Amino acid sequence: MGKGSLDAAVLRFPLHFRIQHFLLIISVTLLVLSAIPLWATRYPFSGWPAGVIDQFGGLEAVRAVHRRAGFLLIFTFAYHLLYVLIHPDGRRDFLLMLPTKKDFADLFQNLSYFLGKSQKPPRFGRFAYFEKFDYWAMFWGCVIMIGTGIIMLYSQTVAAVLPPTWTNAVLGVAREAHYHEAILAALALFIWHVFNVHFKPGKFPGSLVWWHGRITREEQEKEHPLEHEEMVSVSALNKEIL
Amino acid sequence: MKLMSNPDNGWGWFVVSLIFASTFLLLALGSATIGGDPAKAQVNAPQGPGAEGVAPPGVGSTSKPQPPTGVCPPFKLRDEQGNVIDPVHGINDKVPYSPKQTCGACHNYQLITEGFHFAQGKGEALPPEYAARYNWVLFPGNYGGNWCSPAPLYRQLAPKKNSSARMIDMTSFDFVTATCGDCHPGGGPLEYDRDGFRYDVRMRDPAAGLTPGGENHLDGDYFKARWSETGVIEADCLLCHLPEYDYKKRNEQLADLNFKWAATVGAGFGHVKGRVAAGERPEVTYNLDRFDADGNIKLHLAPEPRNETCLHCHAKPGWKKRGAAFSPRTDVHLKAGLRCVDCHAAGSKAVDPRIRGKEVHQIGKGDDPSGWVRNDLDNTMRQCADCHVTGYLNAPVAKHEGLPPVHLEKLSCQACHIPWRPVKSAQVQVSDVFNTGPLITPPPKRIWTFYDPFMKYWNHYGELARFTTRDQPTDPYRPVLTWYKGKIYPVNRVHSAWPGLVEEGKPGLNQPFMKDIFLMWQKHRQDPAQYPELAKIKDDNGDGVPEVNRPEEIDAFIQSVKAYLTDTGFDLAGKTVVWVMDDRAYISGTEWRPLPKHDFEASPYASVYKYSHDVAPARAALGAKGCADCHSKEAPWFTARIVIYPFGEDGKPVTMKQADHLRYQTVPSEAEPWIYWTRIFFIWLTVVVMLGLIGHMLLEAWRYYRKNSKGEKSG
Repeated sequence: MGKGSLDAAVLRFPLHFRIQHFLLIISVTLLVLSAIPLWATRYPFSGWPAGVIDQFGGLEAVRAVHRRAGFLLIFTFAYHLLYVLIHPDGRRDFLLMLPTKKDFADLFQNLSYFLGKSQKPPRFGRFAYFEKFDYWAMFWGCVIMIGTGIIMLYSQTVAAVLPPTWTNAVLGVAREAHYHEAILAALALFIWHVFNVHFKPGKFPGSLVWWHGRITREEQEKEHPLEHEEMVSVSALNKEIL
Repeated sequence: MKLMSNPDNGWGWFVVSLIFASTFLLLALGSATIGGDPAKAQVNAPQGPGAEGVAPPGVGSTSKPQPPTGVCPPFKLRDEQGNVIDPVHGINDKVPYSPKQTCGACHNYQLITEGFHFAQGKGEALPPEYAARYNWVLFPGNYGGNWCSPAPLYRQLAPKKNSSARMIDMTSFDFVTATCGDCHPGGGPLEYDRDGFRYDVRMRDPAAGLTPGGENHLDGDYFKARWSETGVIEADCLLCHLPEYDYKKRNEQLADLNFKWAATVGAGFGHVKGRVAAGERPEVTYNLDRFDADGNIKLHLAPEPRNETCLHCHAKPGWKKRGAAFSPRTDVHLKAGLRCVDCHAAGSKAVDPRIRGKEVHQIGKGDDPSGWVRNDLDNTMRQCADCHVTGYLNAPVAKHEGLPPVHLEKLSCQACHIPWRPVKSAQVQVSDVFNTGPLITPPPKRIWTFYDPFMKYWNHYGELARFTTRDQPTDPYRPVLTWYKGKIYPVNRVHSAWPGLVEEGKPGLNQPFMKDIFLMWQKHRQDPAQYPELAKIKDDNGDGVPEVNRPEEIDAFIQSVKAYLTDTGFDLAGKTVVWVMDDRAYISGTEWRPLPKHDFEASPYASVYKYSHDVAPARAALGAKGCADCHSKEAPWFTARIVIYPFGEDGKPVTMKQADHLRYQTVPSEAEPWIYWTRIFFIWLTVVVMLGLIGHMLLEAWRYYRKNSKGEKSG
C-alpha cells in the first residue's frame, strides 16, 4: 500500500470506474480462458486441443462460457460509455485520456531516461502515456472483439442482411480479426499490464488501488506529480479564496 | 365378439350365420373364376402395366365393406382355387396354401402387389435418360433393369420376343432361379407374364402352345420354363409379416423349382416331399401344431415388419453398395431403437400422401441417384427434418446455432452427419478380368473384381462366404462428397470397366452376356492358346491383380471379346465391341469417345449410392469440434483426393482434389483477400506492439537495475 497513510490519501479511481474494472477482470479472464480451447479447434487433428475441450466438458460448454463472458464484456463496455457520457468524473477522465503532444514528448523523454541520456524521468499528469495506452488498447480491443464476436455469434442474421458475395469475406474477416486481436489483447494484458501494476520496479507485489481506489499523496507526488501540483495549487487557491 | 361368445343370443348366431353364408357364396363364385377353365382366367387377368393380379373373391372394388377387426380373426388356409385347407380334419391337406387366396380373402391383394417391392419395375415405363443410356434394360426396376449390381456386366432379362436362342440370357423363369427370387417377395413378374397372364394358367392352356421346358416360340417369359409344373410365386405376405419366417427353407424350395410350395415351407406350416426339378410332384405334410382344433392356422403376425425382415434382403446389397453396417454401433437411429419402418413408413402410417392409404404397399423410399424404379415416389419416406425440426418422437431438434446459413442451404444433413463410413463398399467394379480369389460362387461371379474405398482389391464374395454382414470388418473411410440436386451429399461413386457394345443408331450402349466373358476367360485359362491376346493383360500396379489399363491391354481385351462372341454365334450385326471405362468408350487402345454423364457420377454405367444410414451422433458430426473440421489445411473435407479413374496407364488410380470436384477453387479462408490481409494486419500489429511493449519494459527494468547498482556502489 505504500508508506503513506490512507487518511492522507487521494481518490484516484471513483466507484463506477472500479466497478467497471472489476467487471473487466472477470469477463476478460473468462474470455481468455475459454478462448484457448476454442482457438484450439483450429487444430482438430492434434491430440491436446481435444483434451482441453474435454476438460471443459465439451465444446458447447466452452462456447457457453465464452459467450456469457462476452455479454458481460458488452455490458461493461456499455456501462463505461454511459459513465463517460453522463457522469462528470467519467467525462473528466475520458478527456484526460485523450492523447496529447506531451504524451509523445513524455515517451521520448522516458526512453532517454531509460537509456541514461536524460537524468530525470518525465513528470506525468493524472494519466501517464502508458496508462493512456492501456486504456485505448482496451477501448479498441472492446470495439474489435465485441463487433467481430457479434458477427460470428449472429452470423446467419448478418449474412441475411449482407449482399451474398460479401458473406464469406465479412464472416472471414470477423473471424480472423477476432482470433488475432484476441491474441494481441491477451499478450498485452498479461505481459504489459501485469508488468506495470505488479512487476514494475518498485511496484511488486502490487497495490489495492483497483479495490479502494485510493493512493497516498506520496504516490501521487511520485507517479503523477503534475496532478499533485495541480491539486495542491487548487487547494491553496481555495484556501486563499476562503 | 360379444354376440359370438354368447350361444344364447339368437340374433348373434343369426348374424354370424349370415356372414358365413355370404362369404361362402362369394368364395364359391370366386373359385369358379380363378380355377377351372384357363380361358376364363385369361379374361380376368389384368392386361397391361400396373394391373397385374386377379382381383380375389370378396375383395377389390366389388368387395363388401368389412367390419373392423383390429387383428386377423382366426382363419383357415386356402389353396389356389380358394378351397379350404384343414389338416386337422384331413380336408384338402396335401396341397400348398395360396397367400393370394388366404390373405386376399380379406386384404386387397391387387392393391398390395402394385407396390414396387412386388412389381420391381415390371410394366413401368423407362425414364427417358435411363432408356437412352442402357440398351438392354426393359424396365426400371430389378426385373429387366440393372438388377442389384453396381455396374455392368450382369445378367439381362430377355425381351419378350426373340429370334435366336443364343440371344436369350435370362428369362422371367430364370429370374426366379438366378437367385433374384431369393429376395423377391412374389407377385408381379413372378406371378404374371408380360402380357398380363398368369404363367402357370397360360402354360396349361392348350391354345397357348406352350410346353414345360420347351423353346416356346423363344418367348422371353416361357423359353425353357416349367411354370405349369412349378406354379407361380404369389406375393408371400408372411415373408415380411411373420417374424419367424424361414427364408432359407423357402429358397431351398425355389432352388428345387417348387415355386408354389415355397410359401408353405417358408412360413413353417409344413414340409414338402418331392422336387419339381427332379420331375416329381411335391406333396405337403402340414404341421398340425400350427393349427387350432377348428383347423385355423395359428400365426404370430407383425403388421410392421421387423428390422431383421428388411435386412434379410437389404443387408448384403447395402454392404456391397454403401458399406452399410445397419448396426447400433454405427447408427445413432438404430442405437435409439428406431425401426426401418419408422422412417420407411407405408400404408396408413405413411408420411407422404403419395403413398398413404390403407394397405397401400409402396414403402416410403428415399432418392437413390441410380435407382430408377418409381422415381415418382422419391422422398416419400420420413426425412431428417420431419423429426429433427419438429421434435417428432422426442428427436433432438437441430438448432445449428452459429452456423452460417450457406451450410444448411448447400449441404445435405448427411454431408456432416455421416463423416465416416464404418464398413468398406465397392468403389470399383470391373468386369473385364478373371477374379481368382477364393470362395467366389457361383463361378460366373469371377468376372467381377471389386476394389474398396482405398482402392485395395476386395474379395467381396469371398467375405460373404466366410462371414455374415454382422461380421463385417471395420474399415472406416471418408465418403466422396458430390453435388446432387443442388446439395452436397456423401456418396459412393462406383467406377466401372466392362466390355460394351455400340449399336448403330442408338445413343446408349449394350452389353454382351456375363456368361460369355466368364467362359471366354475360362477357355483361355484352360488352354492359353485360346484367345491368347488375353495373356497380355498384366498386373501393372503390383497389387497382385491384373487390370486392363494400357493401350495394348485394351486392344487385347476388345479383340478377344470380339473373337469369342463371333466364335459362339453371338449376333454382332450392327454392333461394335468396345471397352468401357467410366465415362469413356474405347474403340481401341488409343481411341475413345466420351460418354455423357452427370457430375455426381463417375460413369453413366455405374451406380452412385447416396449415404443415409449409419448416421453419427451430432457430437461426432463434422463441425462439432469447430469450423476447422472442414475449413483448415488439415481437414480432408476440401483437400482429400478422390478417384477419377480407377487405373491410369501405370495402373494406379487417377485422382483429383475433393474441392476441385465440388468446384470450390480453394479453401475460402485462405483465398479471400480481405480475410488474408486482415490476418496479416493483425499478425504484424501484434508483433510491432508487443516488441514495443516488451522493449519498453526491458529498458525500464534495465534503468532501474543500473540506477540501483550505481547507488549501491556509491553507497
